[in-house]
Amino acid sequence: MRSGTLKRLKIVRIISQALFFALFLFIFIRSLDPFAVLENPFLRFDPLIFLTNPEANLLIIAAVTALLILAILLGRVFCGWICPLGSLIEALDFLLSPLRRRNPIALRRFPKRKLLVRYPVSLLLLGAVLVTVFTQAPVLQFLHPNVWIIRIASLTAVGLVFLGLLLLFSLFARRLWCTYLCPLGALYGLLARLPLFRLRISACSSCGRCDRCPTEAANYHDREILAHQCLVCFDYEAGCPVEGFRFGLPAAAGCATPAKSLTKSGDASQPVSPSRRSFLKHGVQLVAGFAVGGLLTGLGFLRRRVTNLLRPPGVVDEARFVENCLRCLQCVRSCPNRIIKITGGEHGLASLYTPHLEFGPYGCDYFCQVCQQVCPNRAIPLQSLEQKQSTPIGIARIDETVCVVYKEKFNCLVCEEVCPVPEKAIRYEQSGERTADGQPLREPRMVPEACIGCGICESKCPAEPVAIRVFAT
Amino acid sequence: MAPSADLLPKVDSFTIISAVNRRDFLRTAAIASFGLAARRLLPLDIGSGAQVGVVRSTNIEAGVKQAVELVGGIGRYVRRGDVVAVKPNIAFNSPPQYKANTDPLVVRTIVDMCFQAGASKVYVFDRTLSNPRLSYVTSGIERAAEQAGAKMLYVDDVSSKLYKKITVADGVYLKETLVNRYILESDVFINLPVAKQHSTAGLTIGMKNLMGITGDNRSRWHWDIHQAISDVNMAVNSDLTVVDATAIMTRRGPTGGSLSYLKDTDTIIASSGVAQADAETTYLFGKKPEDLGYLRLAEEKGLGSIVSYSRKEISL
Repeated sequence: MRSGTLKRLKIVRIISQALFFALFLFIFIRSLDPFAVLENPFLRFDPLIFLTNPEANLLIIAAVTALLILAILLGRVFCGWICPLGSLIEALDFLLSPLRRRNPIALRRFPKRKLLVRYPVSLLLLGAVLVTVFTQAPVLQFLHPNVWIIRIASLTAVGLVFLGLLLLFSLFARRLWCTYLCPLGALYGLLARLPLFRLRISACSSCGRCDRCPTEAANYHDREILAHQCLVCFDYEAGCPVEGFRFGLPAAAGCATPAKSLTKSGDASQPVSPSRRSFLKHGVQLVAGFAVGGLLTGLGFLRRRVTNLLRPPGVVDEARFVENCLRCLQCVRSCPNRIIKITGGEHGLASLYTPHLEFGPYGCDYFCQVCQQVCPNRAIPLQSLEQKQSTPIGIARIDETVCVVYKEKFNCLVCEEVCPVPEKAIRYEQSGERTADGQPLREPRMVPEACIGCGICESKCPAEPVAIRVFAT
Repeated sequence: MAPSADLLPKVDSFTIISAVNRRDFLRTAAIASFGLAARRLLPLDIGSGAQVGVVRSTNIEAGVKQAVELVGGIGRYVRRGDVVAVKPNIAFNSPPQYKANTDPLVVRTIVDMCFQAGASKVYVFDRTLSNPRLSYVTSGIERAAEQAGAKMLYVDDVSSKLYKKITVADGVYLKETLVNRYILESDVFINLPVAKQHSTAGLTIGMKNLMGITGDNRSRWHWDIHQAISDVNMAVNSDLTVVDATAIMTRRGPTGGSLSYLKDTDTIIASSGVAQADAETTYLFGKKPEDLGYLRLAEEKGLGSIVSYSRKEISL
């Protein structure tokens, strides 16, 4: 391919990255507005997250299939052209390149780097993800690039720690996360092994300039490009003095004979490709990942502890929720009443960063379904309004030692008044007692079977401390 | 956002505005600012019109217009250049069909009428119980008011910018209360309640609707609700009350949430006296004005008779 074409392809790729990053930013900023009600496509249409999504509509299946076909046809185009985290990493790599060159232990000079190249951890992680995605161990949730970019954009503590880690990575090598760690990249890399349209070396002068490949996919010694590592970036190919790069099907590309095998065995008829050599090793790694995933699931510290947390409306299966929730915290950002809070580590690692409800000046609004509408993988199920209005979040209980009606003997009934359930889950009864000014005392009574635990009574109770509270069922 | 100073009467020299005196205060302000609002010098009950106007009509727009016409016409209340504060009941995030909030069409008609009478600005707001933005949108009132050219205000932020502490003259439960500055500083205050059954207060109509003008913890007001309602109505007086009784919530108020709780009454009631507007509305529920504690207190405290008042009724 001519240098001009390759240069143009690089520019097109950078434009594509910029556009997708802008799209990500637009969606992120818009989604800070509770009334925007946007579904994040980067999370909604993702092959790994798809495994956690109980809703498999035609659009999602089509989009996920398209992404997989893209990887089969053209390789890791998602990683090089679309992924917002990948674009961020590339920007960091660019900014930190002067420091990286001066870094004495940069990965390129690192003697054991070959080990990393041969055994990228990403496949192991992918294996672990594929197993744990069906369990409550939150592995996918803390490895998925599309969730991390949201955590970084939200400026959460854990997001900033991850950003610090990426900065550190950038001091050692370009695209380190993408090449060696990212499980989504590993998935697309697996598909990229299928020999379709790929970048190949058709002529070589052994000048070694393709050493600049950010993911070390190009190896002039073997005159081969490791398709599972290649991000189709066209970053350095234009510099090839013999214009030896071809992009196409294997036959059309006309691959050069690997130099090494020629010199070693002198037998040109049976060249052993390094990618083929690694295939078995990588397969073993993936299987080892399954084992790691199984182990993580089995480990007690990742198992769910019984929690008494109130979950967002519509969540009826706590175990399924913990299993599926991406910890993207979109519901936390979108809740108009700001009652969805982030769970810390106190409820066990499995519940870490999951959302739960704490009622403040408002309860969970009777006519609001925003959290259900924005949840990208329906970990919070999207219900009909009628269903939402009749699915209990918890159940309210009146503390008669605190309630002013029981304690001070004067009428209040704010809880009954604000109860949004048409038949009222709180009603009053006249016990025969009277208030100080002679009125019949009206005592609030729960109708437990009508209560949906929306917490509006709790949020409006004028007693101090609050005399009516919602508890998990 | 505070009201722009040039549109509002100057209040700096007055630390206490109790609104029984509000009228007097406005008169003084008018004298002080030379003919700025010379009409304030005239006694208000001048001109024609009954104390209470009742219109039976299935056409909300015509009903509102006619009801105001019966009590002297909008021109009696709103003059050229006036800043008008309109306070519908937007307590809940509830769609219009459940009638937990004032009908958006009532709000739009009133805002239209204010502008036709020459109002320079119309503010519409309520201190909602549910999330304000959700309530404004779901109730349909934001759209209706803005279509008519009014400005919707969010008043849930209880700051000194938005609320002013006033002393309640002869207050029993409330000695002082925080009141929305837009109410205090506008030329005209129009009360636009919806008529509903209310578990604690009996009925919520115009007087109860004034709970939405306070910055206090109003849940606490429920501990002596009739006194609190009559106190706040002594402190702040509305110039005009227009009751949306097109369909009244007869059970499980004030939230309702079922069409089966509603009764079509196709009535709009207008009055310059909030107690009289409420008194007239009680009959729709098959009650009498004396049944409501806060109405009895209102009469005792001098807000006018709740049983004998002049009324005109028409059917359209």
